[in-house]
Amino acid sequence: MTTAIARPAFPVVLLGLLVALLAIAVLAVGVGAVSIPPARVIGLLADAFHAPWSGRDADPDLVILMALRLPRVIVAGLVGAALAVAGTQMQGLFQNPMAAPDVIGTSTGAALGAVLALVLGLAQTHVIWIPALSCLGAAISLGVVYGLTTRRGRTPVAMLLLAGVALNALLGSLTAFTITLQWVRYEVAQEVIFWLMGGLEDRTWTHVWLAGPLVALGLALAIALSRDLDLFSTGEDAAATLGLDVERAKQRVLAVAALLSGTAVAVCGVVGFVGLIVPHALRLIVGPSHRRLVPAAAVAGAIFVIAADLVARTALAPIEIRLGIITGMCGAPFFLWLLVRYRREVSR
Amino acid sequence: MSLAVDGAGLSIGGRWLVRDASVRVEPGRFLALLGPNGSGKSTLLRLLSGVWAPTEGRALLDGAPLARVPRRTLARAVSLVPQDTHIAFAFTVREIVAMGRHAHLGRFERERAADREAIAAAMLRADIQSIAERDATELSGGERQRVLIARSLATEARHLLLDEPTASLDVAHALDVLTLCRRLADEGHAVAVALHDLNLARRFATDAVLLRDGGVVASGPVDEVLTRETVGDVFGVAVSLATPPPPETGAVYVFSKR
Repeated sequence: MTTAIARPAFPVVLLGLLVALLAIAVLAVGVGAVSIPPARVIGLLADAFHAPWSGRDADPDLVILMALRLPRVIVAGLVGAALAVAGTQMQGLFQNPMAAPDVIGTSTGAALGAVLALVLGLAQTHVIWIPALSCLGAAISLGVVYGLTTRRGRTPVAMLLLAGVALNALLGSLTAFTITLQWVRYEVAQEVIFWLMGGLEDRTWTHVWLAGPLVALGLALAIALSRDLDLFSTGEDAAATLGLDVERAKQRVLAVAALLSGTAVAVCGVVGFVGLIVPHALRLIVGPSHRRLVPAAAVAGAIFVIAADLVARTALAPIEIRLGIITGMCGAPFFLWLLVRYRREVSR
Repeated sequence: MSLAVDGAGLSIGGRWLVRDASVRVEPGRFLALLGPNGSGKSTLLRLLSGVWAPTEGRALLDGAPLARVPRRTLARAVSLVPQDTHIAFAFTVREIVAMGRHAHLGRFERERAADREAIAAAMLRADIQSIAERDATELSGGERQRVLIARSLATEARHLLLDEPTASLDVAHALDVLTLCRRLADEGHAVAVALHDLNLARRFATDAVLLRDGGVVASGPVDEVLTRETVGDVFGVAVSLATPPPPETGAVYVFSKR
């Protein structure tokens, strides 16, 4: 016997998430080698808002806040929102809770794009090249996986995971090969490795201005596509008969997921499991309807990455743990738990 | 209001799934699509619904080729209930039924009173109001089928196409679902149902199309289509036919002989 689904009211959940986001952000910009209490953080931010910060002759706390911590926390939030929404879209499209940018090779494709932009010398000509090529890399790898594994709107879990393993291995090797060729240029190789390991150290306002508009665009498009995505959950024939242009909707969703995961990788490298855990957890709370799930996952993703980065910075201070290590330690056990839950489906 | 295929066929990779089929689905009629596995029942329904476009001949809604009817207009006129639908995520029953309003709503539009009324009416018609807030992934086969029929009713389409709605149901639930289909036809819907069970077809359908290898062997009133000769010929089973009893008896009346 099934029972009625009881879900908390969506506005309450969203409001709660937004409050939590603000709280964690204020906490995160305050914590570090120099500690700034939350009340002072809010005061400093209010001052900076009234009198735009010039960077000169300022309070040292303000410098730490504005130049070091705030951009890093904002980039963390943007990356988290982007990865969580990309994961939400991919899970919806593949109708499969194990689809996520890093699991099926989309992030690795984006990383290869970013590395190529750097190695080919494009990154030095204009800042847009790294995000442009990483979004392209994400789009190509996502399109390849979708094309290979999905038949008439059905994606077997095992196919999806195996294609992800293969693509991750191939793209990872290509990236490593590129590094090998560039080894003589030590500083380039150093930068390249950053994209493979993921991290948020030294993120600046440049990264905020680069990722901010792209993530905002991706989020707006994802919200616009949310009802279309709902229709995929009972198969492509059903979606078509309900009035959806299935092929066009699919291309749009893939493009937006690639934009979001590519942008995330462009500013912080491959950070695992955010796009896997966050949508899954939020679906349990707000339900699978994408009009609620997409915005909720965006906020929750931001909270998750800001919190993970806070742990990465402070747990072993002054040593910084790489962000990917923290998300991996949370995410990998979760992924295994999912595998156990879906064991029957995977082995079929 | 009429939905038809005229000399329609579909070939994929050089193989014809349906060839030169002419079928009309009319208001007030319950058309059964019959035939062995692989005879083209599902393909014919997809051609009629516009989900697939014919590679020969035409599919027509009120005389206009389906390919030229705007997608959303088509969704409000013709609705397909695909076979054996798997529901991927834990939507509530009401959320699934509400998807039927997709073609009535703009991208950013919220449900209006008319939408809520259509959803409520569809759930009432399919007798699923009591399970409206349940998890749609945990329904029984019979419940799931009624939910999907309700979703098609919520589109307010006058043409309902069902692909083997009784395939995974026990006899009681199969009777429920077909009774609902027949009532919808009696109320003026044009209903076409792919069926395996010839007895259920004889009992509920008004008309039938008999298919073999993608071609129409016979079509017309169900009693004229299902004869000893056609059934024996198409299914390769010798049968005897009893006089159809009144529908309320639930009796079975195609007997196979060995």
